[in-house]
Amino acid sequence: MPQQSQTPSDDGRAAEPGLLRILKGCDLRVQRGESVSIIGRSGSGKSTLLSLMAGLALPTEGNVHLLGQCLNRLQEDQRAAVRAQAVGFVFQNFQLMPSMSALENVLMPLELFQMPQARERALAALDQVGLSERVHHRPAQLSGGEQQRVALARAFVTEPDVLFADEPTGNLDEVTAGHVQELLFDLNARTHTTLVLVTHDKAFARHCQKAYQLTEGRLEPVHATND
Amino acid sequence: MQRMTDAATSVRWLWRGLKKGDWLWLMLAVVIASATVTFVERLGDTAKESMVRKAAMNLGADTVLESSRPIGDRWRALAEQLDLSVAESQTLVTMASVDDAKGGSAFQLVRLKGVSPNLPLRGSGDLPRIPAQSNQVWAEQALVPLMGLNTQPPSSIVLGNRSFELAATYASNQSGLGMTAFAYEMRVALDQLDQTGLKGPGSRVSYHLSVAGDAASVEAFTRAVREADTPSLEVRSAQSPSEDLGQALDTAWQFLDLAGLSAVLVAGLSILIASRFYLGRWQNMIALMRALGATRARITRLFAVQLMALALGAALIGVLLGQLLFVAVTPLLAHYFDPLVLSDWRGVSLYGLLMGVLVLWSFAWQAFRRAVATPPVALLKTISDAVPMQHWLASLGLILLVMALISAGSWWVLSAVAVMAGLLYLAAQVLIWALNHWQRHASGWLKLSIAALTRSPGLVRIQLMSIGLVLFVLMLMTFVRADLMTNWQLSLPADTPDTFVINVQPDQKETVIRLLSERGIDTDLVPMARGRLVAVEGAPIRAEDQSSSRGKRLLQREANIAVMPSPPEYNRIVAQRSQAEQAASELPFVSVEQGIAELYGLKLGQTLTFDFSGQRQTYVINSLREVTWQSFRLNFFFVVQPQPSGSLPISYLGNFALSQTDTTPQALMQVMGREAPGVLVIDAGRIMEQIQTIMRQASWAVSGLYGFTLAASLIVLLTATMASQQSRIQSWLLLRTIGASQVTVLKVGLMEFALLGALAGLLAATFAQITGLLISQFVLEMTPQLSPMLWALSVLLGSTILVIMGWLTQRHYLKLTPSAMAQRWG
Repeated sequence: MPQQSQTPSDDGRAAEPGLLRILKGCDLRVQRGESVSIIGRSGSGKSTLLSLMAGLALPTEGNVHLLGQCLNRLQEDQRAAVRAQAVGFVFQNFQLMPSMSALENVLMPLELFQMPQARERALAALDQVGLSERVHHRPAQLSGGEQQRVALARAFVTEPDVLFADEPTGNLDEVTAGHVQELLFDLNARTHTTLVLVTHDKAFARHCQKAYQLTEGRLEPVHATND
Repeated sequence: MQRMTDAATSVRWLWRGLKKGDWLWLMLAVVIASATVTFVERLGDTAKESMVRKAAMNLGADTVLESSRPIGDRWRALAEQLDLSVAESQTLVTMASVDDAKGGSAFQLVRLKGVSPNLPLRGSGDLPRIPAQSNQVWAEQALVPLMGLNTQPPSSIVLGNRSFELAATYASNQSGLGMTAFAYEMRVALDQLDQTGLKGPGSRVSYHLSVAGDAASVEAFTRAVREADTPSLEVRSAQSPSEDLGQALDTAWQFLDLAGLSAVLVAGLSILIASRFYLGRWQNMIALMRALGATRARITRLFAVQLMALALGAALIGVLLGQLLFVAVTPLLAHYFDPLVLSDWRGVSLYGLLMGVLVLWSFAWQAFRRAVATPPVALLKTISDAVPMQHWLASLGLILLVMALISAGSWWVLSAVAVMAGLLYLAAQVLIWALNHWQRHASGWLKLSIAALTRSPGLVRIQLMSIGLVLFVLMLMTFVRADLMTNWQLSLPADTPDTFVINVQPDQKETVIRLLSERGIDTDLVPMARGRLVAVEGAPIRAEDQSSSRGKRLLQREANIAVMPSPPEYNRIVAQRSQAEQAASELPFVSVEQGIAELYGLKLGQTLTFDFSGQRQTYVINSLREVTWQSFRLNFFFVVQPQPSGSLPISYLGNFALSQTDTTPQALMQVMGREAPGVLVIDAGRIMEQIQTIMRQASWAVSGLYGFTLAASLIVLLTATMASQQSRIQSWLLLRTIGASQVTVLKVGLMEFALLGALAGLLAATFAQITGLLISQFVLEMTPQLSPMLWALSVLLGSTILVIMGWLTQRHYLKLTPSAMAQRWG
């Protein structure tokens, strides 16, 4: 059953004057439980594609379906409701609140939606990412790898159906990036979450079941041999 | 349910933030704003209520109805219905004599007052309570030397066909200058007044109904009487003090309000800057929450509840602080006010709370609206943090509303704030343009400092405006305050007249001048006539047609009208007819006081008709004058030219500083009584003392408020350096990373603060100079002077303060190693 499909922007139509056409005829379908990576160079439109898929922005043309709902036809608050029920995020720059401790950062989505046993769940999530000793540290007191692990704990604590990850290791050194990747796939496997990963790291992308290359606004499947 | 849980979540988040000091700057600013408002209001209310009580004690009641006819039972019934205490009295003017063979003084004109046993209703003081059916009389002290009265053995005083024993004397209870009362007072029991046989047909008796009680009932009673608009009924209230005292009070309140307003405005500015600093944080958090699926309405609710809870909590602390401060100064107030009537704390507390909340919302509104509109995509892309114009306008509207509430709707204050903000904004814009230009030609670390400053022009504009306004307010308060204090003290110099002689008949003029000059007093006696304005341009002007109570009151009684060829030199002529018009005029001239002209809409060239004891005279308005009532010079609403026929019933009056001579008021009264019978000596020293006290109180309170403004200013300066902290530190990190030495980073960092301070100082000095010039010219009426040193001082002061602030708040980061900096801020 298709969990997510999207067809932003058909090629061939003239863009509105002053508008920059970033994506041209991208057609992508992601099934429930799949892990999909999108690779491309800086500025190729990967993050734009991700924001469209997650309903953070709307395409000027084409349609985006998420969990059976056409996002184009929904108001912002309705799209927010879809995200609230089923979507998690991990960002390149972690997006942790600097004045909150690790625990409070993980607690934030749970408290936002008044989920039961929030504190216990947040502590368990931090434990899963190996940070049970650092729950009261603020982001500035954590290393980059630790900060991203807090972000992973925050993303998985709500048990989302789909996780969007935007260059999650882009700000980390190779060794730390390796640990975070391992953790990401481990959590993904345990929670059976659908994973959409945007990265420029081909090795990282290869860990996903499917990989696509975004070049000049066009999305092409990457075959296993294409290294 | 959802809303309740949202509120709980908000409060939980707020509490966490508070524990970490996240909200410190906003909190401090709100605390200062509401503490100031609470303190100023409580102080003002207490001072006003104490003064009204004092006035009530002088009046012997809260409100007195006066009529030339018996006052009907209607008003007594209403007063009793409102649970007010009621007393009655009747006054008539008659001759009194001492029934003494050894010969007391000759006959003396007195105001004989018959009073009910419960009068005075307010204040016991010196005023006697006279039991019903008493056959004793009480006399004003001034009558003792005039009539040679004694209490041991008691003099026997003949009033009409009755003889009374003198019980005691009492001090005058005249709260005004007493010039309307042409005779000193004696009091007897009301029921005995009828026995004197003085109340016959044709006698001029005035009837009084005095009431006292709680403020609301008194107000309801007074309102009902005023609304009934009975022409024969005049209301005298403790709420409306005399002309000169009223003006001194107005000036004092105005300056107090302004001082309070400046503290609140400065506190608001720190909220404005802090809100820019919080905007970045809020935007990140809100974008994340939106991405996680929170709706905009929900986010608005979560943040609004946090801000509201913060505002309420901080305002509550501010109110407590304001009240505590007031309690702390209460012993001091007791020195100034007797009796000291502490105003109700509840209303003021509520007001302080409301103002604290309003100040936060008005100054932070633009940042709040901008933050809650942050789109979720802000997590992936950089979006502008510029606040749309409509949010700024809404914020400005709210700020003006707050200012209007504090300044009691004073439009000139509001306009001045708005114009000042606009001009500062434009000036800041020009300075930023100049900085950009300078940056292109600068090099080295100076270029880097300027670049750092112009990186976010929006924030720099706000910082410049705020710091500029703060320095401006501080300078203005320091210099203008000193000027005002000096001016107030100067306004009542040692030789200020404190004694008046009135009712000097033409044939007594020479005697009085001689008596005065023998005592070293050199004064001109001014001729005057008592008259009433009855027509303007030939059309009758009636009290009942006037909308203002002052307008009514002044038409109901006779005024002292000076009879002089031209107005006194110490009055400033503000408008005058041309020479040609004057030459063409057939009627004699009248010069009108500006305030009265405005009250009745009088214009140059109009004719005014006065009734002088039944004799009507018409004059043409030749000039309008400005009168300084607090000066204690002889001032008149109207000055008319003498008629060639000389038929007006003229008497003379004069004033002088008796305290500068060896003569006491009593001695002067005695000699006048002997050699110029009928001449009254009025001691105005008491009212002058009142005015001087008010001025001392006001200057003292203003100094206290100055402290509030200083504290608020400190917070503005701190928030101004904190607001751009993150981006500043990031650029320092960059400099250190590419190899800049610590000294270079220090120079770049401190130069940025020095520049900001110097520019703000430049703006502030310019505005302070202009405002100072305007105030000197139009308010203090002194010769305006430009002070070039002020610019140098202000620029130096601004940069020094900012460098110190910058160093204190940022020194930690200026000394960090690149790696430590990167770990904390990278």
